[in-house]
Amino acid sequence: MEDSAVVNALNLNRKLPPSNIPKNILALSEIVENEDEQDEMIQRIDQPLERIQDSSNGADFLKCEYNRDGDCWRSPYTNEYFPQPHEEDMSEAFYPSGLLRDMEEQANDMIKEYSNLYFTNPLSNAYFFETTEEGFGACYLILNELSSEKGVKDGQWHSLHSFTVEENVTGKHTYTLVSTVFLKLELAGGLYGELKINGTSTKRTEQTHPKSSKGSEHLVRMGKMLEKNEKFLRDELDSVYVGKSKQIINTGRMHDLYGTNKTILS
Amino acid sequence: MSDSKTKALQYFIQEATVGELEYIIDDIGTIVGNKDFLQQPEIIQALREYQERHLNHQTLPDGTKVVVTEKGRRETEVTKEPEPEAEGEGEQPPAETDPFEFTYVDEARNIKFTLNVNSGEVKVVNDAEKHHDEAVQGFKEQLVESLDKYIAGHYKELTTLGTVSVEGTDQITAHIEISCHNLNHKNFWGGEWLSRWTVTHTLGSSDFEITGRINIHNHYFEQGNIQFELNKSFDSPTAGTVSGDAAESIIAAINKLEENYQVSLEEMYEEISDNHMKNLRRKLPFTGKNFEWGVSKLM
Repeated sequence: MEDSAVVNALNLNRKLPPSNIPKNILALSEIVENEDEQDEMIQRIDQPLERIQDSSNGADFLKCEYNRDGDCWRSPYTNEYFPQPHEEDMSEAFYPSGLLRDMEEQANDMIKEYSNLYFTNPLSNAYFFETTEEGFGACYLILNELSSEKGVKDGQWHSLHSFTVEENVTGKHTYTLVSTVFLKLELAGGLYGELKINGTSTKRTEQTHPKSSKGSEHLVRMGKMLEKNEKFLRDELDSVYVGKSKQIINTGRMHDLYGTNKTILS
Repeated sequence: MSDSKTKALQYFIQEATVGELEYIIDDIGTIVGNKDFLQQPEIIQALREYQERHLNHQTLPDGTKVVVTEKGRRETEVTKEPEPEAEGEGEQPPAETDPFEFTYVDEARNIKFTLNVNSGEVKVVNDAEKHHDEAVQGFKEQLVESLDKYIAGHYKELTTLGTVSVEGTDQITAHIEISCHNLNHKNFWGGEWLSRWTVTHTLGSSDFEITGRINIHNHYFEQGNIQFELNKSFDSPTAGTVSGDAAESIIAAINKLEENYQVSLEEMYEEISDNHMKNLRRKLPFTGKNFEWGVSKLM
């Protein structure tokens, strides 16, 4: 049953600045006082990605709920948690192994190749986890940050792709993907002043395929779904940031080029 | 209520985009189970500041539309007369003022009104708020006339209101504010264009100077939460010359500033699409094809 307080908090969150999700969460936690509801709410609010260092090899990796245990995060490179925890605390911690870990390792290589083709300076990772006997889950993350160049004060792209793969009643594999993109762009230009665009958008897709026991087959199917969702979200964000804003501004103030006040613009 | 909880509620109200305050109050009310939080002084202040921040539009009982501005704030007069004692004996209880009620003036309409930031009720206090100096009042009225004509010709019907306030007698400072609220919540979007111009002009002279700012804020919330904020300051004064009527010349100069600004945005949109969006994520790899997931060199 949908919890009303959590649903309303999520609705309220969508009316708050997408540029400051951590602050939104703190404020929402003040009014969603029940701890269980708070936890659920926090889990359901997508947060921008943060990086952490794997101190054993010096490489950065991305944090998310699926590689977290308490205050430590598991590196996909070395399969170890950082900051390094005490032995006793980690008895419950999850370490993928066997087929799941193999898939995870391959997925990290694939997403790195993929993201180098689409992004200027990406950090990307994948984390696989157990769900049910007949399935598994995976989370692919990509973080791309623009360098401050002429006029760009800040530019960031964060993708979170959350998969669940389950065998369904007819013996096929169903792949469910929820993709969320955060985008931030802050520009300062002479003529137009200061621009800040911030936003998140989400797309959910589902596909069913003949059952597979090969990790590589799962990875290819998931990769194609991810790419398709990302393209959709990228196009949507572009059209909203530019197209929609242009429409809102140009139908509010009717600039001479668009005709008189009587002109109706779609 | 705890300090941190109050601050959280203030934050929600401060960050509410144009036209969405009501939904935010409803969401909060559903979560906490009641709307008692609205009674708190800090929250009442936040509600009031929201009205001013967005140059909110209010409608008087007779249908006249007015704008709420910070410059329009006035002291609240006693709103409830003390109860008359039956036999004229004993002490009169002190007069009450409603904590939700604030007084404003919209000088363009020569009206003083009260606004209840909780119920939304608007009442007229005085509808003859004219400037004591005839020449200044006359000039102000001409500015209002030109401004209203400008708005009618350049902004979408029913979205935009303007207001004017003036200071000085010979050397005038006029504050001209334009509030455009372009909302379509059924289709999950809304936006505001707010212009705040300051004009200095000596009555009878042939020149004037304009400074000011334009603030634009759009919100799109169909499948997510996308906000677009544009802030432009015109700090270096734009000098103008009177050609015929001073008020008309001033509004014409404002028209030109706003027009040029809107045109400059076209280039910005192209820059975002062609340049920045591409750097954030290309539409396609430079190979021109999708990634070949099955042909990874590591598989």
